[in-house]
Amino acid sequence: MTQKRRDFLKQSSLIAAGTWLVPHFLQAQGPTVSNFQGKRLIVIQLSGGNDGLNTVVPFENELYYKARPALALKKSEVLKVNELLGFHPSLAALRPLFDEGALSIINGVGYPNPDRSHFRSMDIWHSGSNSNEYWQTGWLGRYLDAQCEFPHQAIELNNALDLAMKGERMKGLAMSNPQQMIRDVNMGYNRQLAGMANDHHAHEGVGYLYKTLLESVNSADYLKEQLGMRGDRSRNRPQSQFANHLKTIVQMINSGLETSVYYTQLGGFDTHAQQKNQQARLLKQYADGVKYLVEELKATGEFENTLIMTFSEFGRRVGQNASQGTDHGTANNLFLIGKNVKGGFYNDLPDLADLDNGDLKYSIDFRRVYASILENWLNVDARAILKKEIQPLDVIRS
Amino acid sequence: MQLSPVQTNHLYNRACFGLSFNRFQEIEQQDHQEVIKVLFQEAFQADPLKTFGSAPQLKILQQVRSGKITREEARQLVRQEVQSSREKIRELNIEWIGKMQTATSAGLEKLVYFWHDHFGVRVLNGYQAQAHNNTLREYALGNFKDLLRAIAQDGAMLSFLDNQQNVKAKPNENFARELLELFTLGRGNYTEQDIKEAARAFTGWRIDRRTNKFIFDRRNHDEGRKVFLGRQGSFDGDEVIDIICEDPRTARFLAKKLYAFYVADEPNEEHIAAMAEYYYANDYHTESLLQFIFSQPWFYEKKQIQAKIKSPIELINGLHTQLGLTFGNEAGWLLLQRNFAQDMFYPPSVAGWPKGQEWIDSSSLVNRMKLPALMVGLDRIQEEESPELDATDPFQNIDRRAVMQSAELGLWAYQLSAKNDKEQVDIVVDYLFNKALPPALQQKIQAEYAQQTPAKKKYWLFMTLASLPEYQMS
Repeated sequence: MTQKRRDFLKQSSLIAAGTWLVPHFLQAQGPTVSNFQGKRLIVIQLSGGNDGLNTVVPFENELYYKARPALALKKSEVLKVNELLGFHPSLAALRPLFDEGALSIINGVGYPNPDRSHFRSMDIWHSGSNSNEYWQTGWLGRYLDAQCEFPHQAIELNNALDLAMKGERMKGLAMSNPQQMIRDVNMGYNRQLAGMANDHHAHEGVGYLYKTLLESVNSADYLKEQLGMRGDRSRNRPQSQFANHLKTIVQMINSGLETSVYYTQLGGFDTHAQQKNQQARLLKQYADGVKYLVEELKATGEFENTLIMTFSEFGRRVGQNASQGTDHGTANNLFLIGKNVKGGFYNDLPDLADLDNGDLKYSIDFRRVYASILENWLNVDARAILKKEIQPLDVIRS
Repeated sequence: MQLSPVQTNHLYNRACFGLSFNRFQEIEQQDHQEVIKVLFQEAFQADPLKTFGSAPQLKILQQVRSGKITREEARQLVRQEVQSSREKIRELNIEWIGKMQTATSAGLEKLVYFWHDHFGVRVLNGYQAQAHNNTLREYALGNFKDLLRAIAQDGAMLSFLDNQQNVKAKPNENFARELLELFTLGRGNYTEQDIKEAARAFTGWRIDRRTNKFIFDRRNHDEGRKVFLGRQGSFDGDEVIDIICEDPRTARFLAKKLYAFYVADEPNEEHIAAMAEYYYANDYHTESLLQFIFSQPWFYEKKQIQAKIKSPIELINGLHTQLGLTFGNEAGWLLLQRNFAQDMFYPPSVAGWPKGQEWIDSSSLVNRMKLPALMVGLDRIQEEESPELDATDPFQNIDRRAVMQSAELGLWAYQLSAKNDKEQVDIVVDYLFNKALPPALQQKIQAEYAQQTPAKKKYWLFMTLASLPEYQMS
């Protein structure tokens, strides 16, 4: 005879903590004050490979129309921002930022010997390695290592932590929403177990688990204590999961969290087929989300302390494919948004007449953007974090 | 050497995905040779994956040849074939997980999982993925050189690492680079020039995409002289593999990885050296090496027991073996793999998955620890999921709620033959933690266990224990 799960459900008290452990006082290890400098970075990852050529459109270029008879945006459709270039119409919400000089567009960003696998290329962007190197830590994780004391100093809105946020010594904090995280760490006996973090454990590996659990509990407690009612002006908020994550970020920033890095992503850009509608829908979600984010931050005066970087693991091929879509490509554009960026186009679009096997040639190594963010925005030594000397891009006014 | 029940349990945790509870209660102290003999007899039976029948495009090709269908119809069929092959990768995954959870094959399948991680191949063609996995299984226990040779002619590998494009006129180094860096010698034991020369030796090694059969394309093969690892000759791929395996550093590199997989997260140079020497001297015979490892006193030392962090696949399969977890809707296994970021047939890169502590961060740990509560329906798996991150991802968008509702635990089949509460706790703790739980914690659990009503005692005990950080260790 088997007793079913549901029968057990009715009688279970597993959730409620028992009386068997007297909670220890949970102590943070190491310093109790963070060295937060007031500057924040928000990274928005467009996963799947956003088609950069239909994001910033060279509407006067015949080669563009030749390569994409079905996919090219008509001159009349694009939002012209200068004589040669225009935005995808879905990016209308970003236009005011561009006009006020708070949006910097860097074209042709990539790296040597580009890899066209999503995972590999994402790993390369996350770690900052060369394309033939496999690094186990991410650039923001190494920033944590160098500069921070608490996991909550870098927060990713996600169910799992991406490589970018994993350092050698420190790892950022991943959660899809703070309430869920607070609830999870208070489940079962987690809190009591975390109190045993400094006890003697049989093995180093177990000790590491207990230490990590204590960090989770401390992070959740920190969130619970800090996160005030100061949310957003919710009637302005677009409806999407991406926007919900931005809302959480707004709430955390407006609550005064001492978090230097926020990380979130918007997926679905892998447009091998029927690209037109899909990309239009996603870019609109992106632009509307960013508009909301910026407006909320401006309302509380936090915009000037915030830099927003948007990237994708690669761009797409110049020529369209047979399914009204585009395949994996190489160099792409990257957006920086903030009061201190040098607004406008940093450089020209890659030359459509000079392709590498049908792909755009990169002109700016993405690690130069990282170097610039680290040196000129977060005020840290980029060399140690990027593991080599890299010339920062002159795109942020320090 | 006599093995205690705990030591035998440790062996099954490491060599397989654990031992069932009822079986554990029957174990007695026994000589290690006898235990190992039984292990290899009962848990290493090979049975290939069968989700896919013949090569996907072969049938279509035959139909075209015999004039039954037109070329246009054939093209249409190929497109459908490719599409359904993606969907069927899910079935393939579930079939493999089933083999890992079967007592007669668990040991062999764990080794196949090791090789799957070692040769981190990911292809969307399900037939290719299956053929690759079956090749790993066929050669898993034998001579590594034979395995490597078969893998170097394997459709999934040759497509994944671009050897299709490796031709005399324009060599592609991708396969050669990973061969040296990740599969054999390891970083620092060869030069960039060695990679270039090895790439030339593998020029013209490709597959017929329709049949997935290896083809040696002589016209595109570079017959010229090569200088590879200090040797000179007009080497082809086979000879490069010979030279690589003649180098004892290859044995060392593999010994180190196998040590990390079977023995400990932290390397021990002395033990690794002993393994490497044995492997090399025994012609890279992997079954012999496993028997060597399992016969070492250091394998059973207290400091090794419950000292390794489980990978997600070990955790998931352990839940089946140890807690009797099953799903009415078998997509549940896919959901758990996705939830813990380790999908079989979908490694993040050719370097395989994270290892040891790399699996654990503050979110993944809490996520793992709440799994028992999730299985008994006390919590819900997070509903939120980014839709369609990647059009080439066959494992996304699983109906989470439906799947979790179909989860069942088989604990009620477990006989707790011990007499009193204290003994009952002791025996389950010995089973799940190999006696490695701190005594104070064990006592607290005993006290709480005594308070539970008889109807839910067994559930309470297993669920509580499986929610401890210690359960993440093997």
